[in-house]
Parts: sequence; structure tokens; C-alpha cells
Amino acid sequence: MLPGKTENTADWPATRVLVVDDDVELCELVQQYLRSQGFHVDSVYDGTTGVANALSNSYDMVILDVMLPGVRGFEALRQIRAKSAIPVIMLTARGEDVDRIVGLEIGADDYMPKPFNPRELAARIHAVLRRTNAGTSKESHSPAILCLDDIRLDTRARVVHHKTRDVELTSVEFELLAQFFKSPGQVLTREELVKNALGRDLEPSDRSLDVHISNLRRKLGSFEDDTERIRAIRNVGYVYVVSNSSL
Amino acid sequence: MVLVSATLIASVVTTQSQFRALRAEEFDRTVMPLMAARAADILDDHGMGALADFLSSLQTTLHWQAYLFDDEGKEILSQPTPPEAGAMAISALQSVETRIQTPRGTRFAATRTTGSTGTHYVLVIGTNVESVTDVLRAPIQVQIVRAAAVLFIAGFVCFWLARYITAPVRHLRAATHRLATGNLSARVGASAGNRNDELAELSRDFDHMAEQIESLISSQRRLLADISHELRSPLARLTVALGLTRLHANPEAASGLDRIELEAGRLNTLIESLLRLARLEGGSELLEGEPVMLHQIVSEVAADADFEAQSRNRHVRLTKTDTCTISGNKQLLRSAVENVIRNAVNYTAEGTDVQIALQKISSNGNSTALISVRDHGRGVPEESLADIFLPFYRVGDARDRSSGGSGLGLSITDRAIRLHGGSVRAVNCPDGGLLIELSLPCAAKAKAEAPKVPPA
Repeated sequence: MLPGKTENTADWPATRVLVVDDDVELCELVQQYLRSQGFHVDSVYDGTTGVANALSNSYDMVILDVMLPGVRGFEALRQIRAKSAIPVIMLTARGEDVDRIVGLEIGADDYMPKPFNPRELAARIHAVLRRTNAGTSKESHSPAILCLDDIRLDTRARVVHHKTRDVELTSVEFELLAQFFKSPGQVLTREELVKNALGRDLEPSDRSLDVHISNLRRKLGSFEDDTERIRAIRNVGYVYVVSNSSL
Repeated sequence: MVLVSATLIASVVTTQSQFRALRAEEFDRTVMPLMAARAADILDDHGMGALADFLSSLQTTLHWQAYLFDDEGKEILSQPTPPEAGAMAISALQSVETRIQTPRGTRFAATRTTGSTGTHYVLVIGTNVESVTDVLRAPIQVQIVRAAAVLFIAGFVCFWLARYITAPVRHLRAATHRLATGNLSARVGASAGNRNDELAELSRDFDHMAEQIESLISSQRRLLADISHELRSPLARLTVALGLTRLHANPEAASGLDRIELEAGRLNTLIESLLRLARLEGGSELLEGEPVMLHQIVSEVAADADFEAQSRNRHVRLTKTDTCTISGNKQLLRSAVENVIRNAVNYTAEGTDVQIALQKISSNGNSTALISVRDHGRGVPEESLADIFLPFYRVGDARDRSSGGSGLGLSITDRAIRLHGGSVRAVNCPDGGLLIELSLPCAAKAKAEAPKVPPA
């Protein structure tokens, strides 16, 4: 993306972004930048207000600082995730792996280490949005419903159905599952998984994919015979296992 | 224990001989007068025949040579007597008890007594030195059993005593070990028991010290986290402001803005390195070992470095990778290797290769992983070879930016490798360039902890 060029958001109304960070000046700068990119941005400076606003249904995306005082970042994330699947990007301290992993495990969609290039932040926001809006856009060549074994995936409604119940997935998890379902039994490399699901390139020592897959496994559970749904292929990627019954 | 039982046995033996001496005294004091009186009475009441029978019975049953002398020193029964006996009788008449030992091992004792008629007699009894206490001395088998019992009891007492004394020491060692491996809440605590001695006090002192250490380290960690946050906040604002400026900037401003971005990046890296080094130095980065596959790390880092190096007309080649697994901190080890390789790429001459090898060396059942990174740069002056691992050290004092780096990379490597029980060294190669070697002990059995997130 060239600097100064805003992405064409004419297909849908301006995305409403909520920034939750106790650094008031930083929020102001981020707001300024994102607005220049065509986003509608609001900032709050503490966790409690952040959670309340995030759950108020007035926003499409939350940018959340993990190092919030008071209701700490992770706690706020937990509270938001308990009630909503709204996309969340965490702002973390650079080099703190554990922050990233914990955040992703709780359910954040992606992370942005501070200090960051605001252009990259905008890019990640777009990537997350593309996933969320994919169902409503012109992807008519892909089938709306994908079925495999005991799971049914509705790409339009962005809903996953497992036997008798619905499964709550974050947008990243949904996107990963959709990729697997489009190529069941095929090994998908980490690079392509990250590119399609997170909308960015794979970074070295990037465990975010692993955390998302782990969350996905947990939510879907294993097959009837206790075998793992998603198998890791060392140094390459992952494969969604096709069980014998459907061959 | 040997000491104690030896002492016990020695004391038993000495008491036995003291026993003997005691018994001998008693013989002289009690038994002799009784015998003498008895002999005198028999003579006075029943005559010489009865006396002869009495004395010979002493001979047969107790093996005592017994002689009775009259008040003139003459043996009453007119038996042949040893000369010593006669001499003793004479002196005993002076009312002093005498006893002598003949070289032949016979012990004579003489006692004066008075018969019922008022006449003085002297009874002399000669015995074997030992036979005085014969009645009292136990046969050899009993002696052996006694000795065995003594040994057994001594052993038991020693064992119990040793355990009692060293128990707190063992608990202390266990707690110290736990503390050293990173469990800051390790305490001796209740396992010291209710004792009131110096060892219990040592245990209490240890607990106190452990508490101080725990609070010191956690406050240091908090401080580092705070510093990290405080230093990064202005940088975070800076980079966003930079992004904003670029949006509205003239093309002429681009290079200036690029420069600002570069320096901000350097600041960030410096902060990161400093914090990492501070954490390593302060010991708050304690090792929680997980199995780390060195060969994987080395090949990944080498591949990344090669990619970057190519844009500067240099190459990174991996010549050998043995499979080595180590117990440690993956990120730390990765940084350690990265810093050395990055350094080599910075210093190697244009158009040359940086050669990297990972070898597993086994000797005496121990395996060592040896990572060698060799560049084709100018090398380092011999006297400074050890100094390059010091923080901010630069060969030649110039803050030489063209070679890149912040001067902290190698010191982080050094500290991280040492934290894993390894060592680093640098040598100049005979045909130019510098060779840096990282050696790490391979885990005998890498702790197989199930990783929290299964890596692909």
C-alpha cells in the first residue's frame, strides 16, 4: 500500500474502530492516522470502559493494549471474548513472546508489537476485516456450505455446526477451518495458512498460527475415535485429517 | 561409627582388666581371710587330717596351691613348699598382707589368721594369675557375642545419630537446590522440625535469605518491566507520528523521514538488547528447561541470515549440522546464535562467506554441541579476543556504525550461553577472519515436557 492512499471502503460503511490504551497521546496519534485511512475511530483509556464499549455493539474492531492498568489487558480481552466475537488486535511489548501467546490463546485475532508502524496496523485491520466480510462480498465462486464428517461450515453466515450444536469461532479460527475444508486431507503450509487467515506474511518465531490452531482443536474436539482432527506436519504445516468413514 | 564402636570395645576391655584387678583385690581382702579362718578352724577342731583334705580339695577343684603355716613359719602338713610361700608366711606374720607374683605366673597371697585357740596361722594360696577371676570371667563364646552386641548397638546408635545430625543438612541442600534452579518460593520451612540447635537456626536463616532473594528478584523484574514500558511509550508515539508525517510529506522529505525511522529502529533494538542483558545479568531470567533442537535453530537462523546477507553481497553457508538437543530456553539460544552470525555477516569482507557448523562431540559419555561461526573479516587483535564479549566493547574504540550492531549482541550471547552451562571463545583464523565457538553441554536426557503449543 502506498502512503497516503486509503483503501477503497466504498463497498461498506466506514469501519468503526475502538482503541483501548492508557497512553492518551498515543491514542490521539493513532486516531489521527486511522481516520486519514477512512476509519471511524474512538479511544478509551481504561479496561472497564473498553469492555463496556466493545460489547455495546457500536464497533467492528477493537485495538487493545495488553499493558492496561486496572482491569488488565488480558482480563479485558477475556471479558470481551466471553460475550462477543468482535475482532480484537492486541498491542504488545515487542519481544514479549508470552504476552502474544497468552493473548492469542484467550482469543485475540492478531497482535501488533509496540512500537509499530501505523501503516502496518492499518494493514492488519484490513486483513481482519477482509476475513469477517468475506462472506458478504462477491466470493460467489466458493460454495456457501462446506461439510466434512460431523462438521458443517456456512461461509455466508460464518457459522460452524458440529453435530447438534453451534461452535463459536473467532474470525481467524473460522478462516483457518474454511481453508482446511476447501482442501481436506491436504497439507497446507504455515506460510499459506498465515497469509490467508491472518492476512500477512509469516514472521520468524511466529507462534500465533500454532496458538490459533490449538484453540481451534480445542473448540472442535477430536473425532469419535479420539484421533486428532488437525495434524501438525513438522517444519511444513498442518493438515485436516480426513477420517476413514468419509473416504 | 568405627570410632564409636572402637571406643566402646576399648572401654569394655579396659573395664574387664580393671574388673580383674578389682576381683584380685577382693580375693585378697575377702576370700583370703575367710579361707584362712576356715583352715584354722578345721585344724583346731578336726585335726591335721581334715586340714589336709581341705587343702587338697582346694587344689582339685580350684587349682589353688594352699599351704598353712604356723606362727613360726613352718608348714604344718610338712609338705614341700615353694620358697616364696615360706618367705611370704614369715612376713605375713608381721600382720601385713603380702602378695607376690612369681615369674612362672603363679600369684601367691598370704593372710594371717587366728585360730580358736588363739594361735596365729598363715594361709598362703598360690593361684594362676588369671584363675582368681576364673569364676568371674566369661568363656570365649560369650565374649564374642558381647563384642558383636557392642558393635551392633554402636552401629545403630551411630546411624541414628548421623541421621539426626544430618537431616536438617539434607533438607537445607534440597531447598538450596530448588532455589538455584529457579523455584524462588523454595524454603526449608517445617521440614526442619522442632529442633532448637544451630542447624535449625541455619535453616531459618536460609528461609529468611530465600525470602529476601525472592522479593529482590521480583522487584527487579517489575522494575525492568516498568522501564521497558516507559522507554517504549515515547518510541511508540514517535513511530505513529512518523507514519502521520509521511502521509503529508513532500518527496524531498522522504530521505529525512527514512533516517528518523532508522534511528528509531536502532533505539528500539538497543532498548530490547539492554533489557535482555539486564535480565540475564540480574539473574531474573532463570532457566526453565525445555527441549530445544539446536540443529533446527541454527539452520533457520543461518537461512534468514543468508537471505539478508545476499542483499549486501555476502553469503552464509551451513557446512554441517549434527542433531543436538539441549535443555534450555529456546528464545535465548536463538538470540545467542543470531547475534554471533549477524556479527560475522557485518564484519566479513564483501563477496565472502560466513561459514557455520554445528557439531556434536562425544567423550566419556558426555556430549557437547559445538557451534562455530567463521567469517572472513579483519579478525580481532589477540589481546582483545576475550574483550569482544563485554557489553558495548568495540575493537578500535570507534563507534563504527558502518559495521552495524549496538555492541551488545556478543555480550548477550556470552551471558545466555553461560546460563546454559556452556562457554564461548573467539580465535583468529590463520588465513584471516575470526572464528567464534559456542559450546553447550547436551542434556543427558532432555526433559520431555509436553510443549504448551505443539509447533508445526
